[in-house]
Amino acid sequence: MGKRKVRKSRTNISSFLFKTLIALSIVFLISFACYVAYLTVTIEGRLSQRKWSIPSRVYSDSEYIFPGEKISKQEFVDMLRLRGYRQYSYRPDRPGGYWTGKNWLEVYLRDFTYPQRRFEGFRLKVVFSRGRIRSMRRNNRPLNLVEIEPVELAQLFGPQKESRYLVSYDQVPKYLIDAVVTIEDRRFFEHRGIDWRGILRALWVDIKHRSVVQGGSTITQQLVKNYFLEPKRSFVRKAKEAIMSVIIETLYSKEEILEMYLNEIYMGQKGGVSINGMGEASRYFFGHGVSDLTLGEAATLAGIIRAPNYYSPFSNPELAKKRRNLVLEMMLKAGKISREEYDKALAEPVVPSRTPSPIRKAPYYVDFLKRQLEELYPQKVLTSMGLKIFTTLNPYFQVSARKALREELSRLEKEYPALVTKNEDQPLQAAMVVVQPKTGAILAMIGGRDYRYSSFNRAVDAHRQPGSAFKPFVYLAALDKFTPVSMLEDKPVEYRVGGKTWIPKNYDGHYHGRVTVRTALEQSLNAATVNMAMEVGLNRIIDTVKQLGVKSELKPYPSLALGAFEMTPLELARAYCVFANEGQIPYLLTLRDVVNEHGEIEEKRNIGFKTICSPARAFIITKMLEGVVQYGTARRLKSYGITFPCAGKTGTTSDYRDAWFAGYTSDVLVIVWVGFDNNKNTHLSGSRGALPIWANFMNRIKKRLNPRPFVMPPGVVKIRVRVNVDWPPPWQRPTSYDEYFLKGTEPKPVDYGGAGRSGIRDWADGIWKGIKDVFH
Amino acid sequence: MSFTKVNLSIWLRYLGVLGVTAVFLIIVGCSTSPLYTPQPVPQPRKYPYPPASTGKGPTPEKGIATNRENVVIVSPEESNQPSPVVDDSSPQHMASLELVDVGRRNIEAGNVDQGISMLERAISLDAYNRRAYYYLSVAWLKKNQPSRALEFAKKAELLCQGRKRELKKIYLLERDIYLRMGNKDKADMYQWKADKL
Repeated sequence: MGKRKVRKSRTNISSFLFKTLIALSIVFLISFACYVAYLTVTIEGRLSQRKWSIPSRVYSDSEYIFPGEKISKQEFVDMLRLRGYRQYSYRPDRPGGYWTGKNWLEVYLRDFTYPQRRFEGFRLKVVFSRGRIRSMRRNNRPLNLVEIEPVELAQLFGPQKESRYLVSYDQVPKYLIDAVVTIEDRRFFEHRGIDWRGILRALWVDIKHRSVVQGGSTITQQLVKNYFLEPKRSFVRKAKEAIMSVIIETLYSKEEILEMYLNEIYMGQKGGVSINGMGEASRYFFGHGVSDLTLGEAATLAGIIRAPNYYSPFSNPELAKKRRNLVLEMMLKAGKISREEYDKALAEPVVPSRTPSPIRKAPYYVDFLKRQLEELYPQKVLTSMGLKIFTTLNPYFQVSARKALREELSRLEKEYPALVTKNEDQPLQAAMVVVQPKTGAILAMIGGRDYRYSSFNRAVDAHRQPGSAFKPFVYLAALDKFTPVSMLEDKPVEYRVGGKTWIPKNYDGHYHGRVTVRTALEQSLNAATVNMAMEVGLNRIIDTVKQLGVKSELKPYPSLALGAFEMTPLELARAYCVFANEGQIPYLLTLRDVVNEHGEIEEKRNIGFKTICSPARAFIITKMLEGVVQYGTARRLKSYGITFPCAGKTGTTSDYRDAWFAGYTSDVLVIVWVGFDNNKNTHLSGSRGALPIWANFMNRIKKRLNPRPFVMPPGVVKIRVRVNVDWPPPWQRPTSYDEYFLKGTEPKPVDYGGAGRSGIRDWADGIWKGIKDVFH
Repeated sequence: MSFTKVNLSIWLRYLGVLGVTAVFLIIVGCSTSPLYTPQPVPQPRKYPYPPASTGKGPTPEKGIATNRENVVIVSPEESNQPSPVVDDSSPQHMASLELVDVGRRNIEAGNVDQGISMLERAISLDAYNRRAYYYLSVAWLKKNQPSRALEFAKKAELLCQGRKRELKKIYLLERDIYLRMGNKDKADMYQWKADKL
């Protein structure tokens, strides 16, 4: 009885245990199935959406080259280097390379997708002669015009700061895939997400070391680890990784998994930005896209994956080379490459491309652009949707502007040691805006001396008094009442402003008596200008200036005529365009196109004008401003080698706080400002401080320009006149010259008796007119 | 009547005529002083500068300020003909023409946006390319933006001065633009201008 009871009780316990075990197993299996289902849904959810945040890329404008253009071989090489092209000692066999001879250069241009069109790369041979392009040929066929791809100026990152350039499986060359698979997971195309042999090997090593020291991760596991899981190593995470890998292998093809892996993998660090994916790594390390990689370069990239910063060709080229050779050797053993290919790749040096960091190229310009973009798109879209943003920036002009500004500021500080401040945070600053007046395109912008020390964009945000650089607008408003030969009194006149007496003084401290309107502008005479402005009416001047898009508050004080109010260099640039663009003010452009990742144009900006004044009025002011350059306050330009047709105006504010020069040719307008942020006295006039920067810049870019004489529009009358004035003396400015008048305002010969003509006819005419006058 | 008396009276007559002539010439001379009086030689600039002017100069008249006694017309042949833009053979101009051609073909093929982009590039290369402005105007009119088209047509008109055939084409384009804007008066005016050429 007792035995039976014990047996029964044992049977019950066994049964209970068995049932419990079954129940637990079922619960576990159900839970596991649920967990797998949950992971499946999670994976599908994540991968069906946008996989990565792709920063938007900002591009400069493309450049055109053509026969006859003044570009030397070295300048063309610089142009290519800026775009990440590499020099070869042999004929380039892939896009992104060039080789040179004595007076020629052959470049394999890359493909580039512009808004609405695609440029197919090809081999271009350029022959140079005397600093110019003599001819351009493609397969021995002459070409008249070739577009060179834009420069990447910046990427707009989100908080993750991941730089990534997506590539599709089809774009990736086979040898890169082979290299990656060989070195990272040679059984990738055979296993189903987990390579048991690899795991057992790694487990054995981990047990031996009593810690996780080796991972037998497949490519799929690495993808799971990087994309879905925390980087912390643990057995739980490892199990999760294995489950997810199997799920991914079930859901996606091998090609899809490899494509994701090649876009996800971490490949190193560029300052504070991480390089992710082979597309970005290829551009960062070798300056071209994945499709242009050589076998050696592909092996180098595959070798980097294991320890990106350790095997970086930049920091450890020798280690990178050893690792590359190992990859090549493994590829040879696996039969992925031939002995010949192996030997050729082994002979390649590991030389990374030194593409200049985008932030150094045009930081102020990019900042200004970002502000405009932020009005069009939310921050998240800008930093994650991979937009391509095309701008108007001319890289050559931008680089030239930066060089000119730095060179001249250093020279000024050397020449005038007082300009060197004790406080290094407040050095002498400068800003520059380069605009194409006929299109409104902002070609270059410098917002300060050095972006690393001060990112304050003075070109856009510094509200400074324009001083005499404002005077042309006063004269524009005055053209209804005055002609260039009208007489003005350059004399001290007292004005009551706010209960105080104000007498405008000239820059040289003297008054010059009766002078022409032209002289007053050319010599920047303050007293004469204010006296004229008072006759014109200050409100009329304000109306004119407001039409030019100046947003600053303007009060009708006499000092308004001398530019005693604040405006930014950019505002001044736009306003000056009205003279350089025959009376039409352009809408300033930085943005040209925004293209989404599917190649569709999302935003487009086109040239647009608004007529502000007649071409005749703009022309007359331009002619007077030409006089400023020839005989007036900017005549020093000649000594800097500026001999082509140009017009301009200097500006100096009270206590020499600001030095300006605004100058233009038929094809470019440049505004330069020099001063201290804290309004300290610079002791520099516009002619001393800003003009040399303008001249330096123009001398750098003049070969890319085609400055032509300003066109005389209808409604203008040209007459040769001789003026009798108190000032300036004839050795400073000829008294007899061609003058331009609005039609109907020109002096009539009958008024003056045809003076100056010689011969009996003139004499008789004079007598006859005299008789008429007597008997009138 | 003696010979001496006759001679004397003749001499006196002659003297009288000469005197009258002299007086006459003096009057004429005074009335046209800029013509006959030698030009005042500008005084060399003194250092330091001369004292400030007394400021008793004439007040400018209503309308255009004049200064008859200070300005002399040297050459009576005034030139009121606008200067036509010379078609230069600069590399920039030639390259720009290539782009105009591409732009024009795009517009004709219906790719107006692409055409506009090319024409804008053409202006970037050569700011005085009148053809680029003309086709830009045509393109914007095709896009039904007549006010924008008008600005480019104005520019083309300015740059085509002296070229009758091209100017006529532009006048007709401006007529079309004004018609699209609903301004029939202006359209008629441009038709008239075109007819005149």
